[in-house]
Amino acid sequence: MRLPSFIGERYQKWRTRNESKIKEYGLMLYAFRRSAVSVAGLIMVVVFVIIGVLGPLLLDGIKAFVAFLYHQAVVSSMPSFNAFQYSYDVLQPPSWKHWFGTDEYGRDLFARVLLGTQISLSYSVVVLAAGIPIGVVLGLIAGYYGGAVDELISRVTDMFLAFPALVLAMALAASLGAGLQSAMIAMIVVWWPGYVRLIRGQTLSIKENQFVEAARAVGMRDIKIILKHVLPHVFTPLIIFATLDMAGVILLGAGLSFIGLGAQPPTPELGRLVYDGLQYLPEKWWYSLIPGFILFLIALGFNLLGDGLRDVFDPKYRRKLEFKEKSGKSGKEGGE
Amino acid sequence: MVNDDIILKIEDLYVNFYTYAGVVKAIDGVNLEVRRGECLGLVGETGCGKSVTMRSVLRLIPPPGEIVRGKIWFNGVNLLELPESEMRKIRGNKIAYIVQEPSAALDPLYRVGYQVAEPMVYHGLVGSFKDAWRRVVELFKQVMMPEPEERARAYPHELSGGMKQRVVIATALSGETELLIADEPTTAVDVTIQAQIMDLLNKLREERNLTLILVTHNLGLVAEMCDRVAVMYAGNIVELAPTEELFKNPLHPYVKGLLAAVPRITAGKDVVLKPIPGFVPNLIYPPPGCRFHPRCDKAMPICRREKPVMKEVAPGHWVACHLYDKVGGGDE
Amino acid sequence: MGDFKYYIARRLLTFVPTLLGVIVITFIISHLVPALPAKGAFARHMNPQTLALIKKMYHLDQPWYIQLWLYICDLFTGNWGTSIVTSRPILKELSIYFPVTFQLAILGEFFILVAGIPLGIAAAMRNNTKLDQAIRVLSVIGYSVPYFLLAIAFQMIFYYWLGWLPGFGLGRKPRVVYTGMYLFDSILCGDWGAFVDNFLHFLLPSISLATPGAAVIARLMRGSLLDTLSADFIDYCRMKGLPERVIMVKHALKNAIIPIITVAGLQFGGLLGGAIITETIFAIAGLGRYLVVSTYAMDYPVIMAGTFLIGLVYLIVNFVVDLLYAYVDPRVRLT
Repeated sequence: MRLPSFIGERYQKWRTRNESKIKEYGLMLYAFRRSAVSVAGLIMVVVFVIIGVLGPLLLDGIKAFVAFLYHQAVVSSMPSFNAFQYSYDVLQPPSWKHWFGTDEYGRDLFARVLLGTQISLSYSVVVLAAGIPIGVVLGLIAGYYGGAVDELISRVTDMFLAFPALVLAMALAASLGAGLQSAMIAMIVVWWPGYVRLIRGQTLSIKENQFVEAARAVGMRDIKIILKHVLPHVFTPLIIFATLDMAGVILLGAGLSFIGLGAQPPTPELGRLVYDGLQYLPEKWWYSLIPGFILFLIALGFNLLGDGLRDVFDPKYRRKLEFKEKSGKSGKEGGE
Repeated sequence: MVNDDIILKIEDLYVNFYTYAGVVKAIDGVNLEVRRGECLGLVGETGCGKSVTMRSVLRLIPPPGEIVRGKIWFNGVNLLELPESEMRKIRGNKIAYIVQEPSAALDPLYRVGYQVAEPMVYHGLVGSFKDAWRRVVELFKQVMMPEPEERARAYPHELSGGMKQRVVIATALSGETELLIADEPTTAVDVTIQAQIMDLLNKLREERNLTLILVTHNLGLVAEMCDRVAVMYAGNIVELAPTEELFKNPLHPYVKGLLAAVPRITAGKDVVLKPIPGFVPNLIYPPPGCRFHPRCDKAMPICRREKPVMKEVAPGHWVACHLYDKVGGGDE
Repeated sequence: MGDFKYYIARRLLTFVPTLLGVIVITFIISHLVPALPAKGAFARHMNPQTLALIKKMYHLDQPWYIQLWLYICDLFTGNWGTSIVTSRPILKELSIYFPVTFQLAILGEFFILVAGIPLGIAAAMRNNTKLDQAIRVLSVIGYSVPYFLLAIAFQMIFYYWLGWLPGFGLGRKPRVVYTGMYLFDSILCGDWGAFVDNFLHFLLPSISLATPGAAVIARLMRGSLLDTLSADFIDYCRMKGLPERVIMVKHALKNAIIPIITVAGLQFGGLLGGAIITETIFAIAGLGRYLVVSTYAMDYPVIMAGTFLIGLVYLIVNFVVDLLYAYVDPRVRLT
């Protein structure tokens, strides 16, 4: 299909106007694709996001698919995907029937791990979605205005950062009463101060730039300067940090549920599964180790992705790549 | 090659920088002789390769850069063929370097006296740091540091820019210094301090009979201090002459342009400064032939094809320009 | 060193408000507790007289600032409350459990530095080689591992499977106990058998606890050293003709290690928090395990006291770390 010529023309104009931008994005993409580790991270994150979004639906889907195979006589028996029902298959090792084995009540661990993964991911999203805006707003205010406001915000932030994250979250969650909601509130309270620090630091250094001074000199309002000239510049570190923090929050949440402060039984949660399995070590290793390993994979995925993004967003790294590209073609000629 | 008069001789030096954007041919066949006891000015705009040339003498080109070929004779020894251990004994001892940014050059964690003492100790000039300390105080007196004992115990952040430059100069004098390379020694300090620093360098040079290479883009400074001047453009030395001769009778079109672009108090108000048209070339893809030809108003067809070589057109006055090909009747 | 004394004084001035902040936070949290006997659903089923009595006992009938004041007084006079489960004074129980956790954290910090710094240096020196990349990937893996996974894996491999190291509990009690930290006590009284036994018992817990921290330090050390190596003063050291080894050790490493000091201090908090999990898995009778048991038993006074103690210790450790920082870096003393 041919595009009408005026659209083509517009497109060409747009292309030439944004040539350097397009080249830069291309380079970003190249920088990302080049690193096998980052791509692995992205794939892992995508898989886990699918699990997180679909959750029980995915479990139903898998069930339906295996049932289809069973009816086609590809497989000879149906696995059990019973996350909640007790059965006599107590503490069974992984098998076709129970992919990840079973727990002390004969519940299927594959199903429980899958549901637990969804819970872990969803509360990380909630915690970050609540914590980041608080941190960004306070950080921008503290960094931009400075003075007494900054002092006040920084002192309060320091108070919260004076505790190890897990300890403060534990005390809070325990006080609010064990449950998923308390755990989330506790983690939000623990997590926002880090963002205040990050954004405040970024804002302070951006404020030094001439363009901020120029905006102020022409009489632009503070709120507009913050929104138009400061906020866009803190975006990159924010995205990188948020990605890495997905891993951090998931591990923190797992720690809380390990102590018994997350979702309460019978709802499965990964950290809690690890704790419950402890007493059956070492013979029933799968009970603790598989959920623990899944947690590790989630954290690893987000950390690898965050790490890759850090490189991609680093202009120096891109320049280096660009050079490698060029010199790859022309070699170290010249000079001789 | 052994000539007592010539302390340093750079022969056919090529330096490349392998950067992300491409191979920068920063130094492109530099030849230079420095006489014992003289003060030579090395002049040129930022990025013309004057600092790189001088750093090559110490064999300290920062990483993406490499000396491709050439010879650097110091007291009759080719420095580029010395093993690293021998080279180390020359750095900071026989050849001392005064840096542009004394503030960045001092380690923030050590007292400045210690940092002055370090090269003496590791060059084996003194027995211990304790002995070195006495020498440090002496050196601080020589560089006219106020309250030398106290200042030696100070940390870099406790000193002003001018004082830090004195620390660096004291370090440069701590060895058995023969050749002193001062790389824009006054850019980082106030104008009043600049004069003091230059006076100090002059005084020390006479006292200790040092050879001084002054790298700068400040023509006034050169006129005041130097016996001879070499002018660099885009990785080449284009003209070399005794100071007075160069200022009176510049030959290379670039040098002419350079001098015409300097304001003079003696000239009337209505004299218009004449900038050199065009820009410094990109040294990744340098212009063929003479690197100045795209900006030269006297460019000839040959300038595009052939690189001009240095020729002595008058006694002691050398120039690399095709305009003077016939004058000296040089070798090729 | 006069300015160093000034620095200590100034740093103490910021220590006090932060300590107050820690107290206020624990106070707020402990007054949130809906599960306290006199609050929430529980209270509705109580006899009003009993309720009033309990309220009086916990000073809940007073305004909040009086309560805060009483809370602070209690903290400083050593009246940290009574455990609901064991009915013993909490401070006494903490004095038994805390040294164990502190010893674990110190050993963890030791392993963090001993593993992290050399790895970081190696990666920086072999920048952009296979080794550098390997260390980088290992580091990401290292800080993605949940504490419990590594602890369980170590326990399975080195205790159950290979049988090389003990997998549970504390080591033998030394002849004399001064501090409750058996490793130090056994050194103090020269009981080397107990020292070795305790060291072996703490090896798996402390290494598993230290791994994520070591991974972070390795990364930071790499970056910091690369930055320092490209600094002007290193270049100038070469111009002065100093031997490469002297430049590396005296100038590059000393400067590169400065940011590491602060981070190592902050990681001590991670170790104290992680001890909660590690001690549970290795059945070490320390503060962490005590807190987990108390949490499962909803023993709130213990949870709050333990939280406060950890906050306090973390604060003191960072205070000491800041002094160390100022000692190494003369610039800090002035700001």
